[in-house]
Amino acid sequence: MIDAETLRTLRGQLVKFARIQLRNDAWADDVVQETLVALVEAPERFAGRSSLKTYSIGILKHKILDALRAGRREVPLSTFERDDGEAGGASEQEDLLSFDSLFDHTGHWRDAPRDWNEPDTQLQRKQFFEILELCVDKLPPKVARIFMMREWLGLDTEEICKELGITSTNAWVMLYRARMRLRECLQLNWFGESAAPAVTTSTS
Amino acid sequence: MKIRLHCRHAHRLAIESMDRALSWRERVRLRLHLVACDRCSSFVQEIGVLRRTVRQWGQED
Repeated sequence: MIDAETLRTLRGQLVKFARIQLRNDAWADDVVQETLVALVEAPERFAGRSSLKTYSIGILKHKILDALRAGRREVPLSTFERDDGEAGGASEQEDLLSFDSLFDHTGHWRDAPRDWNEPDTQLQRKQFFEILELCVDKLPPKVARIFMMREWLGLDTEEICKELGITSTNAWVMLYRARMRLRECLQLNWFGESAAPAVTTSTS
Repeated sequence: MKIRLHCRHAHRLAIESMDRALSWRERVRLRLHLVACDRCSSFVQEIGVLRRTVRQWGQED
């Protein structure tokens, strides 16, 4: 039996993911509702296998995929998203050009990338994902959505293009932007020296 | 053909290789560049961390 408080907390966490993907609060609420119903109806399924949250995220991903497929014809991407991510749009060009400043006139990095340490303790991971969420929120909604479809839902670009009615070139450009922006944001807020997790030197 | 890549081009190919199959020529050029360039190798490591962590997002506890 799952108590009401646990369900409330869980609901909040699931809604966050559903909104990034569906860009429509009513749909997001629907898929989360369906996920919670599935949990409450068959709570024995997750017992002992994984945490409740991990288990429900798995269900949620399936529900989101169903919703994306069902909604394809009804709401084309362009009707509810103002930011124009089409390749060739003015803002798009400016955004891509801004990555040029990462390189000098000879085509080399101005600031050398350095290997990142993956967050490993539970606390580090919790904090890391809070920062990641902030970084994803800062992306244009369309870019965030495509990135999450690719990396979080695990769709390939062909499927994404089919769901959203965009060209593969367009999808690659948006995924490129997403990765570059997220890398920049995480470097600044997590992997940069000042924000390095406090546990790094405490073991010596 | 021109084989040598600059970082400006190499980082883009490295990212695109996560979403599409590179041509044989692109693969060779990227690989040769990465062998010689620590910076781009670190960049590849970083975007790999991004990929792995996002996949686990929501399952952190």
